[in-house]
Amino acid sequence: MRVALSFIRGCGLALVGCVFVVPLALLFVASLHAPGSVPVPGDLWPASPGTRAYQAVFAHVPMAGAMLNSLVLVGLFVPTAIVAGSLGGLGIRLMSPAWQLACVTLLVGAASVPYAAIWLPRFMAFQALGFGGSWVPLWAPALMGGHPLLVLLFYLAARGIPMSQLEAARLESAGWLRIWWRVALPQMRPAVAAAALLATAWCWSSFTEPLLYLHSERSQTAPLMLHALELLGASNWSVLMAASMLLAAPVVLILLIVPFSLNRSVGG
Amino acid sequence: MIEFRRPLALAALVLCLSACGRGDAPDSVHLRLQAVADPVEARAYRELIDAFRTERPDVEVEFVPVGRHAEHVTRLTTSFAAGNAPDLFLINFRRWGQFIASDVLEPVGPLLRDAGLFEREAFYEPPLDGFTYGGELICMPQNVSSLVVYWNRALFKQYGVEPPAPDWTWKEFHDAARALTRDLDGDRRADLYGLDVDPSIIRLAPFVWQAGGRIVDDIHAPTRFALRSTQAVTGLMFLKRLKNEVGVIPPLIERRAEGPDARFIRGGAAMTLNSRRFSAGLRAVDGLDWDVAPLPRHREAASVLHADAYCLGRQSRHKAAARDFIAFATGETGQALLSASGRIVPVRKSVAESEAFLDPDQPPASARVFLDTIPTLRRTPNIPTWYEIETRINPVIEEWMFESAAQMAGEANFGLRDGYLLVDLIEQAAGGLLKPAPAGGKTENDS
Repeated sequence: MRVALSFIRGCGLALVGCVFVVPLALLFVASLHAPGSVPVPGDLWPASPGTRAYQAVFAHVPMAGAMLNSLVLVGLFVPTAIVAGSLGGLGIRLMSPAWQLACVTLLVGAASVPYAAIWLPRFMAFQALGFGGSWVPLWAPALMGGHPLLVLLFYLAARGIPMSQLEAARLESAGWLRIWWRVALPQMRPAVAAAALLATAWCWSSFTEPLLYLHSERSQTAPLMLHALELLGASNWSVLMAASMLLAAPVVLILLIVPFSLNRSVGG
Repeated sequence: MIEFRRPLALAALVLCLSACGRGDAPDSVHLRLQAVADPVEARAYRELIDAFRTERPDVEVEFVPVGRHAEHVTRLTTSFAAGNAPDLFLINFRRWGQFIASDVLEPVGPLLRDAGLFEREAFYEPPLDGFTYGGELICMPQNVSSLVVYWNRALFKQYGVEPPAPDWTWKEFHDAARALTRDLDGDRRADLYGLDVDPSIIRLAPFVWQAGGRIVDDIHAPTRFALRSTQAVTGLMFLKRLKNEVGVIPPLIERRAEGPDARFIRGGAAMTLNSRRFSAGLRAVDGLDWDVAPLPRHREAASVLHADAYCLGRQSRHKAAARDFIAFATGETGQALLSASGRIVPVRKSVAESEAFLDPDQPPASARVFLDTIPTLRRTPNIPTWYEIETRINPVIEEWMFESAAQMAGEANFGLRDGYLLVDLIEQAAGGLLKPAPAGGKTENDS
């Protein structure tokens, strides 16, 4: 009976997985068309599939440099966001219940503010500080945990740590940073993995902020290059699809790896 | 010591991040030019900038390409609000109105004229008129495109349809579209359409003018739409009749699957309406035999102006250098370099008439059509609210054009009443936006 249930559950999950795989498969097939041709509605597989569209991406725009920029940015943003977010989450956990409630309310409120309402004041603030045209405005949100919801996630994870453990470590003369590193963080591993996944996806696909802040083409990120290709028009859709595939591939890879490690860490 | 190292490391990181993407040479004038440009066009602008640098090594121009018009405008409005706008930017004349309203532009015309860098008769008049406001040339046009008919020569030949004549009429256009609409597999549904087009005010306006109608009451100081006339409604109805009564334009369900550009490239539509920019995309298509023709005429010939211009931000600290760059970009060398990208019709007459534009080795064979159309060009009003008006009424026009079959059945005998229905919808959606005066009390009639 247990085997049958497990099989049905597996089939159900595979079916749900297929729903998400289909758009990616269509994207991949569209990227195999030659530049200068358009897909015929209904005809999925191109007459002569090839990788010319991928070559055209790198010929038209400096995509390699832009992907490297995006990668460096993710490499700076994600660890900073995890450190700041987990410290914030633990900090809230150590407050009195009333202050915890106030902080959670504040975080939910902050997450609800539309981005359009704050982008102009933020842009003006960074310009005034002399960071216009640099990566600082793109990295700075990581200093506050990346996103209010990530801090909230770490707070919920920290609530699972018994207070007695934290107090015992304190009695052993451990500093708060040591407690965070040796006691809290190992117990928040699933939250760390989930936060890393979300922060990577947000940072990797971020478009508006690089558009507003980055001027020089050398410093631009991959999503900006993708949009530059969009203007090539209907005769070069396969080039746009190839670039989209290049941007989607790392995220898909991470999506495949992180849940696996998440399962292991929860199981372990 | 450790306590000191951590802040130092953080400071080093911030400095490193701040340095990313910066490379200003301290001793030279640094200009920023922002424009919507696809990768091929961006290369042409960089060649233009390199050529300018050989003449003016003291001026460094940084090109900031943006992929789409909406993001271009977002970035401009944000940076103007923050006081960090680019010195120069290129913008379409239908979108520059909002920058007039916010009074952030330095008029380029007087700057060029005072420096002896502007001879009006060297340029085509319609784009100059399009970028004139309050009696002054605010931005300097770089191109003068228009709406033309792109037609598939192979399909015309295959089905024995006469190529479009330079003075073809609505009737001939209708007959050609009808003859080219074909059911190739006998399933009683067209597989090849005579025409496919995006329904929007910029596409319908030429037909309104050709029928003798007007879009607004006064092109210089519009206070209301002037579409409530038999002539204007006849023009508005022309494409919808081609779709509903003649069936030469794809229905909504097919448009959702494939847009006009893709359908034309694939050979699923024999004609489409577009501006010069489309030519560059078609040159990249292997095996497509295509050309351009003027829009068909009715009572009179008319097409709609498509033009972009260099605008100078009022807060720029290097206005003289920016002026010199504009003069170079709209001069013989600059215009020839940009023409090579295939995306623009040069605004400078001498370059437009030269092989730099009329290159016989490059399609379209009838590139001169873009020049012959210029005397018939008309424009939409250049008022601050025009872009918003288009944004509001284009979805209304699309919905009206592709309304459901049930509604169509009810309206089959409406005739012009269906056109008046569209006029009602347009007036409801955007009529109020024609009334307010621009900010600062400045009107176009001021001089």
